Amino acid sequence: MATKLATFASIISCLLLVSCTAPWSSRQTTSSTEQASVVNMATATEPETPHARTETNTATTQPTVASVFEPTSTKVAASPSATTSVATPSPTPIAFRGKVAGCCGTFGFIDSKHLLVFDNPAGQQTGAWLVDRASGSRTFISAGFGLSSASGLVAIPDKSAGTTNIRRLNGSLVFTIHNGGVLTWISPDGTHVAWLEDLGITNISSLVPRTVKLWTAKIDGSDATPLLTFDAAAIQWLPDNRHVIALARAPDGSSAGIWSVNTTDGTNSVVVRGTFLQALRLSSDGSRMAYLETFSGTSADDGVWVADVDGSRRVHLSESGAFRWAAGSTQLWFLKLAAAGSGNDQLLQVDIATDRVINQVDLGGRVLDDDWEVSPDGQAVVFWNEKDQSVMLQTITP
Amino acid sequence: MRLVMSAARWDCYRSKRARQVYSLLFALILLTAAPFDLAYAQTVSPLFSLPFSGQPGPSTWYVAQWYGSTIWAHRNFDDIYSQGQGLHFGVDFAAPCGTPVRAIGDGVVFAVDGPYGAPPHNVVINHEDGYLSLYGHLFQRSNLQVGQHVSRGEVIGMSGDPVTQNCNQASHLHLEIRRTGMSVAVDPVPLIDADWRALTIGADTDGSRFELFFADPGKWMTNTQQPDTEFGGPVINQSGAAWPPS
Repeated sequence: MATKLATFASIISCLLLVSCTAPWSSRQTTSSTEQASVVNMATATEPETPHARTETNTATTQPTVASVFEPTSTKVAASPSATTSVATPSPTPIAFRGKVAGCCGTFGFIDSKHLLVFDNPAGQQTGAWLVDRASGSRTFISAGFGLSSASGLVAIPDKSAGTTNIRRLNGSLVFTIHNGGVLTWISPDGTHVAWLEDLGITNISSLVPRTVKLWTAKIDGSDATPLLTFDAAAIQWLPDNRHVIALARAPDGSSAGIWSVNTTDGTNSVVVRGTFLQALRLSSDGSRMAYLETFSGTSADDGVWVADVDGSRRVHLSESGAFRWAAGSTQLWFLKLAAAGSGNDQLLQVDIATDRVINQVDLGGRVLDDDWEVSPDGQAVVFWNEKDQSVMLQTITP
Repeated sequence: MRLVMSAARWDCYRSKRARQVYSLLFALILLTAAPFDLAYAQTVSPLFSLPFSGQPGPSTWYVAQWYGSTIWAHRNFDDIYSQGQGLHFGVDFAAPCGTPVRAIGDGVVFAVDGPYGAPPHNVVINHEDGYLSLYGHLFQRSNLQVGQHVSRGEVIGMSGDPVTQNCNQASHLHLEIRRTGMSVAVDPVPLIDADWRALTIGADTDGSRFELFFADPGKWMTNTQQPDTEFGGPVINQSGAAWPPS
């Protein structure tokens, strides 16, 4: 122990004497690794044989024009020899860019114009704040947090009261639902809600979702109806306002995969079967879904897939990692993490039909705990910033 | 550790002579304060390696749940984690059954299928510096013997599934690091040398995020800020309103 102490003391003394121009918390030198990644990007954007593996012949191949966008001061560009067309960046639209919350990493886009963040700003109320994407101005909504809907309503559960409050974006209370104060999903048209009631059945592993009962009701909480029992943790409404999809399995462990449930009568089907599916995300127009398949037993089948919401037209993508939908249902953004301790994370825009990277954006920071979201119009990204644990809003397309 | 950091920054604005004075003072503090040495080692010098070889990925392995006050832990506090103060007292690495599990450091086998949970099979290895590593949910009983020396990277068993031997529900390795004679679990993340951000591979599980407590929003929100677990102690992650509700 004495030797170790002496070693530490020597190291600390040396650092104090010679490192004054480099505080310990700072870094940000361009490494050879970063340069290499730019080269790889240039290579990846060159036209080549599409990698997309389509299970049916119904997927359409759309002509695309690859563009290179430089939204931040960090230069990320394709090689001059790349044979892609280069779009001329248009003036950046008026949109707020910068810090939108000082803590917590809890946020989500309500629509393309509004963002909901949890924050505890000094001298102000702690809770859910509505952020206007154009101006960055903020409006306090509630001391709690909630799930929002394209209808402009937010469902904010109150566990202690056993209720969920439905609020408008100005914070005004619309309805109070007596559903135990659990996570509540509002349909896109704002007419119905759905929630999962934990049945209290002892769980063996947290990797298996708890056994729950799916309920639906009108937006005011009336006509509450139990639909079915399954193992699931979250649901997503489809734009028809009738169906929800979920990563789920039957309570006996069978029928694992993506379930589609008709909320009018509880009829259901497994539209994509898979034992270890993860990261189910619905496109912003609600027509397609993307998910990650793991441990299928065939490595070529593992990775990110895109399918229609009925499970048809499945396409396997060659890009890997965390993903989010861009606008519509034809492109995904992938987060490419910078190496430990150096550089910014990058976003790669992948065209699903061609399985090609068509855009790269320097995020201007590093994402903490996988917390990032893309706006429904695909023009902004919000992320939890590793550097200071603030929540940052960035513009990502011209 | 905070004293170390603040002293270094402050010193940067002082003269060379002042820096020398503070350096000597600082060296003296380190030489006379053993607890500082331990804290420094825990936060700056990872002692261990990952329990799997190769790269993480959708066909190999990835981190499905962090140690600590995860959303999954909050959701399952009263059954799975009731003995661990409601916290997830290890790191879960999702992996197909049969994936070779490796010792995270040199040590001596402390227990094989001992009374430490994580069924159906587990192995505990005693390391230097007072740490013990526990490998849970192994597929079958390990061939290791208590008292046997193992080296870092040596295969100590195969990953399994705590729910079913069919391996089709929750196949993963539960890795714990304990100290104080197995009575306390600590966060493995600062102790293992890894690029942890890359290990979740975008699987987006609720185990890779932490519960947000409205009354103290910054508390236990990242994988390097988690509290120690005292087995048998009171539940500590269920007070007040939180997001998401369970």
